[in-house]
Amino acid sequence: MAATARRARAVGEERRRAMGSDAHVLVVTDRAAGPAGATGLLARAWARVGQLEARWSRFRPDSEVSALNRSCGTAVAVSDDTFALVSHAVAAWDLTGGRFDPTVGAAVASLGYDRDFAGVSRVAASCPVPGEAVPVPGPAGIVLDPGRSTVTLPPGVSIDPGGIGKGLAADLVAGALLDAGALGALVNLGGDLRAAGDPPGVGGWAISLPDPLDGGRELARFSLGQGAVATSSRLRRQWRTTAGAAHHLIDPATGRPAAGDIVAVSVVADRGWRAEALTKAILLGEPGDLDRHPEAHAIVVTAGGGRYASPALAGALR
Amino acid sequence: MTTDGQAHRRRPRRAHAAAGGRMVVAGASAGALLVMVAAMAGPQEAAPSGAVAQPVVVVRRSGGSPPAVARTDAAPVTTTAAS
Repeated sequence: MAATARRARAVGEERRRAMGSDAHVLVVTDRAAGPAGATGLLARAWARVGQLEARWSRFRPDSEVSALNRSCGTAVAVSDDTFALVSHAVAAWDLTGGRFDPTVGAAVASLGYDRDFAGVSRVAASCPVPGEAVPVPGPAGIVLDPGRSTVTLPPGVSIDPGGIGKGLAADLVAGALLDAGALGALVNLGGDLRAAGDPPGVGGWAISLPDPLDGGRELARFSLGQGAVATSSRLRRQWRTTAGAAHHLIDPATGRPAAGDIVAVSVVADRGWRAEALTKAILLGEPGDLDRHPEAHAIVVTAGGGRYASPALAGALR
Repeated sequence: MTTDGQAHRRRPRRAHAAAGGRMVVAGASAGALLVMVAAMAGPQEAAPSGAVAQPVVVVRRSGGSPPAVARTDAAPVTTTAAS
């Protein structure tokens, strides 16, 4: 843990693997609380991340998401967290006109991504994939009953929390840290980041985005007071199947891995879940689609190395 | 309970929330508003007291103005990339 002095404040940080990704949590505390204050908050953050992963992982048979995906049309009582996850996933579908779709679960599993990614490349290359794409049914038939705290997925519908789970988790954990006494918090879960409360310095949280085409280079660097950043790339989580190369970003319109010229998108928005949803919407579109989302800033990278940025982020490109 | 018919990819249909707001068919949008639970995203998301019977709250569909960002040369506190 590192400590940085700025007036009467201190910053504690810790990196771990969580949700199948590299994770990084920073907390701003009152220096009077001493190191124990930051240590306790960080422990609380990791415990909450672990709780959410246990509830939302589609690779854990005892998770609530796995129970939902097995439910075949019956109502399943879920925790407030999982109710919120499904609610937000549906809201994201609505926000993006269906370009973000949480019901890609069956489609991505049919391509071999039905286990933790570490095991996918080892197994998927020898497992046949369906000749026809598995349809993505969309979430219109999902029933949410807040009175009973139940979720009903229609038969044949399964959800993949994927990135929006990490985005919403970053939102929830950052909020929990503020509730627990942190003056500020930044929660970065594998490319889904939420900053809340007071940043550690007057300049805000300094955020760096690596170049998706050359990880050794920096694509952009900018400061953020409060808000969220999400990045999606079809250059990550790639594997081989009997039908050729695959990646994890499914186009709901085809049920197949997204094609197109855009290979990576980063979005700055007010909430992690919203930023994550907008990355998918832009990734499945054209660079010109940046203008369709005035509630966010974005940077787009194309396969040919083209870089496009919203006006507010243009100066941040390196 | 209300229903919203079959899925329509890329064209989500309009929302229908049952009277009293107790049962919500997801996939439903209500213009600028969506009905959700209170616990979903921290205290910032909570509706004004008394706006809707608990635990249902109303969340704005879009965030309005984007967060303020600025160019910086300061050392990054975190690096974030797709994973």
